[in-house]
Amino acid sequence: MTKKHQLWGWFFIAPYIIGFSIFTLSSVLFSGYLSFTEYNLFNPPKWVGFRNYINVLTDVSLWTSFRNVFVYGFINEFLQLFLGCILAVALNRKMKGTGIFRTLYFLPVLTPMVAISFVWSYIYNPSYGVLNYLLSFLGIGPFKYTFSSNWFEFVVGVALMNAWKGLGYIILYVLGGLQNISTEVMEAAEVDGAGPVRKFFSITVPLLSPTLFFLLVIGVINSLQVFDQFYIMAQSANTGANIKVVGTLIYENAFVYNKLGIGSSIAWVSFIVMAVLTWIQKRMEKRYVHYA
Amino acid sequence: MKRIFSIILIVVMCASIFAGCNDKKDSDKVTLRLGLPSGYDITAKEVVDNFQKAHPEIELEIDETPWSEFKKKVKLQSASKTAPTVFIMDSGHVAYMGANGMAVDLADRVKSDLNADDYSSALYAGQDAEGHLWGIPHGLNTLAIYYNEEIFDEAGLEYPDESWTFDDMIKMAKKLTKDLDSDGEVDQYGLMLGTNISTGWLPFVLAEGGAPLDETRTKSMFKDKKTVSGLKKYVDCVKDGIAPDAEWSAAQGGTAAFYTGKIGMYIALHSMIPVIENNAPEGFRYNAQIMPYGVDGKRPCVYVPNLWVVSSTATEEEQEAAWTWIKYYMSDEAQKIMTESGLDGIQVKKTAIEYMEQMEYNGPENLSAFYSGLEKHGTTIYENGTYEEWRPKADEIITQMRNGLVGFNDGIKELDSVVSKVLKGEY
Amino acid sequence: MLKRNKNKILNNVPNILVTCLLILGTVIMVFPFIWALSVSLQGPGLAYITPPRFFKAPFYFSNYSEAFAKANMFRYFLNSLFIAVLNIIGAVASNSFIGFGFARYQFKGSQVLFFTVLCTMMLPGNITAIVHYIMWQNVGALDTYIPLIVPSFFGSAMMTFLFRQHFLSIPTDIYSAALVDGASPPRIFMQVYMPMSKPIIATVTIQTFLNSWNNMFQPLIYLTTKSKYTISVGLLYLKGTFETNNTEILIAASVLAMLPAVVLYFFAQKQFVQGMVSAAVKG
Repeated sequence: MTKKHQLWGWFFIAPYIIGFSIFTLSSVLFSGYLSFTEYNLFNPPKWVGFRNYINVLTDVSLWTSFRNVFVYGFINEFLQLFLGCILAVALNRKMKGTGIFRTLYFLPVLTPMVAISFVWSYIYNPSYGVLNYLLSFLGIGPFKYTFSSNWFEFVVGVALMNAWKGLGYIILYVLGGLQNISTEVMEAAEVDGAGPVRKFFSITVPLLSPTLFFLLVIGVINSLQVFDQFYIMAQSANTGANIKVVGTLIYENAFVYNKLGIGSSIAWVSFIVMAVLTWIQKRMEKRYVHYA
Repeated sequence: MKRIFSIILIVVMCASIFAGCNDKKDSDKVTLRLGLPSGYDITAKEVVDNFQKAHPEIELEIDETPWSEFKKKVKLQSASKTAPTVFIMDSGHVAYMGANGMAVDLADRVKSDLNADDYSSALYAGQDAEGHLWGIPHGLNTLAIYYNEEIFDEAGLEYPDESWTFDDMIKMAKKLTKDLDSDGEVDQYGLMLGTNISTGWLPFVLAEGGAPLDETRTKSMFKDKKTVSGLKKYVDCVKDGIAPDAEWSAAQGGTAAFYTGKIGMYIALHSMIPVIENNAPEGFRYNAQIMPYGVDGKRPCVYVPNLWVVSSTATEEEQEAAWTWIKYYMSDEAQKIMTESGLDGIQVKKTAIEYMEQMEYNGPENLSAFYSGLEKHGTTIYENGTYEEWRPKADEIITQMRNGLVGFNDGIKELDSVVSKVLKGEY
Repeated sequence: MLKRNKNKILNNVPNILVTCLLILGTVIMVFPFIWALSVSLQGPGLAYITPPRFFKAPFYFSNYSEAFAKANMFRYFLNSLFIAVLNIIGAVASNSFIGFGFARYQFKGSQVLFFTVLCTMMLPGNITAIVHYIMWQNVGALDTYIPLIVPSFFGSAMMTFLFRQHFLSIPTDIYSAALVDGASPPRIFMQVYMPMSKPIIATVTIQTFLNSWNNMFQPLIYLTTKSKYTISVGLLYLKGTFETNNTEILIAASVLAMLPAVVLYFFAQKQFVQGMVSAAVKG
């Protein structure tokens, strides 16, 4: 019985084993090997030891791309989690029309990044864009956003767009988390005479912390891997600013310059950074995250 | 389980249908696979059809992909030994392919089969420093200066004539730069400059007698005095406010800034003619003039060639067929058809250039601006095996210099060290 | 659906304030779409004037037909749809299958393997992208849909995890009873477990559709023939052609690219939200 049982188990997970060994395990190992070689698809890989890593780590472009990724990630995560929590809490009350709101908030999540980037690029246009036009009524701006030769303005522009695009996703998750907060806790707090702001910070946020933590971890990983929006937005603004991110750096080296070894070594450096960050987050989890 | 397998089977089958077109037919005919980026938008269909009629023993197969993807595709096909027999490629990538053994050296064939006197010197655009000839021009995208006649008239300036110099150009640009609505911001610029090598900094560098690389194209010359002074002039155009910064150009939609009347003079390639013709408002008056003189009586008549390349993975027989095709392409007939179509810039045969002088054409009146300097002043863009890596890196730093993100002297230092690094093959 | 009145965090804040906040948020979220729609109906050249025009007649619906005609959008649509459908079939079949294995048959080997599933979730795609590329090149699958489709038939960590969690919540007794009745495990899986998993199937379907429809990186590196492009890569290619001189057509094409996912969402909203939330709660 147990043997047969086990056999069926292997049967069902067989596709995973095949997929894992081909697409994950061997790929990871081979990628590690490649990162120590010089390889351009045409000639066989040539072992170069740590040369790729030394070249990559001593070149300034890697560090500027990490800087861009971190600034982007920070702004993006902050906006998404902050606004996401507020809007989710607002949507969580019994009120007419919240369904419609939630539907509309979720729209951007569904649309392709390419299309969104084109639309935002046009909205951002410093001379003809609607955003500067609208802000001028408030006496703000004008800004150059993703058309700027200043890396910071560019990165903020992309981060704003991305925060807008992903907000619906965050709201949905936080709403899910809010369902798990028991009514009794809230009622008890109300009896104690806690105001809405206090309730939000001393009850909702701590009880939501597992959800928020999960979103943060995913968010950091996604930010480090960001590619599409930077690749597209950088194409329309050829202003010489240092606006590469790790993803575009890998793409450029591996698929444009044909330096697959260099590309792999950058990928590994970014993976190590990501692993360290995740480890730090796990450490913080113990301190700041409350599991009910 | 059966289901899963049948699904996988279906998928693989479907996919292989899409993958298709790799199967080869057995016949006595030689199959010649022509790689045409953007298909008949670059090579006139008539040329292909006429060739097919004249050479029934060769079976033509067209491999068509948009420009932006074509390079990537051919690169991969070369790696898996399935590249088209003969294909069009931009000169920068041709140099890379040549240096990495993906292209056939055509120097001997040219020597024995083509009469060099019939062609402009740009016939050798695909030659590297060691004398290998990796490609034969499909068309030359030449540089000239477009100017807006209305803006010149309003400023009471004479149109530029052939004898003008770079200094004349800059003087004119100063007079054409205006703040029309006097809000303190310039909204009509004298000169628009690209941010890349061909329409941007290289003409300035060449005009001062400098060069980005030495003659062997293995050493950076960015620290050379003449090069530095050329770059300085280029950067100063933006600093002095006679040329818009890159942000402004990007926001205005590039060429659109010219045909909507915000630019006096525009350094641009021949390929911009249809863009202007198709989009300019009715009654827009513009013309073109040959690149002005720099020092030593040299004009920086830069051209960006597209070249026919024969794949090194082709068999002897296929290479022979490919050469038959190139020979036909270089004939009077084909060159005339191509010139008439205006598809890929200027053709290299002298008869084709003569023909240009008398043909009807949609474009600036002074079309000779694009070809009259070719023979005497024509120059390529310093392609070499690492061109595709040092060029974007150099473009980026120079753009930073002109935007004031990097100081001029620091920029020069960085430029020299980055380009030297790439040339030496260190990342 | 969700029970929204379960906890009343903002009870003391007047409804009207909350509504205002939500409306403001909605305006910001929806505005870019409305704006895109407005621009996509502009005449040639009118996208580049100040002040910006907002839904001003005359409307050029021809921009849409141009996007279809010049840009071959219909072909890109079909390609994307073809890939998406096969991805969905692959994802639902493989992930449910594997998830069932991990949920119902727990022994030492499977536990270890399940741990690798969790690890794979953290693995960045950057690491493997280059190797996958070399791999597909070696089997001659570049410029085909194989690299975009086949991997989905071998399960993906997140979705396998979803199915496993769901199957775990179904009592073991049902499985044992069916076994005693003489049903084979595959049959139990197909006829007992799958019919009970419709919400998860819906979630995985929609999630896969979105991932596939919005995927840009992979089609970008694998596809090189124009007629094989997906909607994302097709749009990217259009940019070069239209951006500077025909922004309105580029935006019209973008609107078209957004449509299918939005329409799908309006039809399957309930299941989608439910699935996402249950995933969030369990995850």
